[in-house]
Amino acid sequence: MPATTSDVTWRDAVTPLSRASRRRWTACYALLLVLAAASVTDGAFASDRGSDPTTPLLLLVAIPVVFGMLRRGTRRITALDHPDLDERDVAARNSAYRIAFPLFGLVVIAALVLLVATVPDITRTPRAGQIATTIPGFFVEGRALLGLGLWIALWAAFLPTGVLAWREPDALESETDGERLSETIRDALLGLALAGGLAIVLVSHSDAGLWPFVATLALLGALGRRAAGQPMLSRQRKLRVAIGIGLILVLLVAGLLVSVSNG
Amino acid sequence: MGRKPKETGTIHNRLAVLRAERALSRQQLADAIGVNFQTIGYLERGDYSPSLELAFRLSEFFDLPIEAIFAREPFAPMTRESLVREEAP
Repeated sequence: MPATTSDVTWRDAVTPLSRASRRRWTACYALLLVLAAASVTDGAFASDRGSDPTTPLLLLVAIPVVFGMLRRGTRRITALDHPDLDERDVAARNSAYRIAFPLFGLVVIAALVLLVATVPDITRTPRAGQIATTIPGFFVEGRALLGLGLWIALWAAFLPTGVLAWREPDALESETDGERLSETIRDALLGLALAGGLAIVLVSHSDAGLWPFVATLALLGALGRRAAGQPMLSRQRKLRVAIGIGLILVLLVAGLLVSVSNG
Repeated sequence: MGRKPKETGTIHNRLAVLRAERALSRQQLADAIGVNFQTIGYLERGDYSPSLELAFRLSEFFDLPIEAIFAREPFAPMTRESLVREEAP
C-alpha cells in the first residue's frame, strides 16, 4: 500500500504490525467475546434496547473491527484460499491451525460446562401409560442455543488468526510506506475509547458507549493520513462527510416536523 | 537408543549484505525469488530458516554457493574474510 499511490484509510492506521500490539489486540478480542457472552447471560454489560437486555452495539461493532485489525495485522495468512502465500506463510498458517484446534476444543468444553452450570434445571414427567417417570434435565431456549452456536463460531473463526497474531514476529514496514503513528499511542487511544465506551454501557445500559470508539477510529484514520503526509480529509472524503452531515440534518428536520405536526 | 534431539539451531545468513551490495530492495529480491517481502525481512533477521528449495533459489539468484550465503555458525565480517584471502600466499 504505497502512500504515494493510495490513501491511508482508518483500517491502515489501526493495523497492528508489531507483535506486542498484535498480542494486546488478541487478548482484547478474547475479552470482547467473553463480555459479549456476559451481556447475554448476566445483563451487566447489556443494553436495554427493546424488551430484553441485548448485546450492546459497542460490542457488535468492536468485535468485527478488532478481528479485522488482527486479520490485516497477519496479512490474512489464515485464509485457506489465499492466493499469494509463500513457504514461510504456509508453514506459519499450518502451525497456527495445529495450535488453534485444541484451543477451540477447550473453548467448546468450557462453553458446555458453563452452559450446564448456568441454565435452569427442569424436571419432566411424561406419562407412559399409567406409569409416571421423572426425568431431570436443563431448559435452553432455541434462541439461546443459536447464540451459543454463534459465539462458538466466532471463536472458531478467531482462534487461528489469534494464534498467528500472537506468534508472528514483528512485521517490517513496507519500504514504500510513509510514516506511521506510534503503535503504543494508537493502541492506548483506541483501548481507552473502548474501555470508556464499555464503562458508559455498564453505567447507563445504553448504546452511547459506541460513539467514543467510532470517533477514535475516525481520529486515528485522520492522524494516520497526516503522519503519511496526506491531507487529513481528502476531497472525496470531505464530500462524503458533507453528504453524511446533510442527510443527518435532513433526518433531524424531518423528525422535528413530524413531532411538531403530531403535537 | 535414545530419542534424536530436536534441532533448534539458527541458520545464519548474509542476505542483508548481499542485497545491499546489489542495491536491491527487499521487495525486488522478494519478487525475484517469488516470496513475500516480509519473508526476506524474517530471513535477514534470523526469524525464519529457509527450506532447501528456497536456499537454492537464493543461491542461484546471487550466483553464489549455498555455504557462502547460509551457515550454521555466525559469519565473520566480509572485509576481514577478503583481507585474509588477499594475505594468503
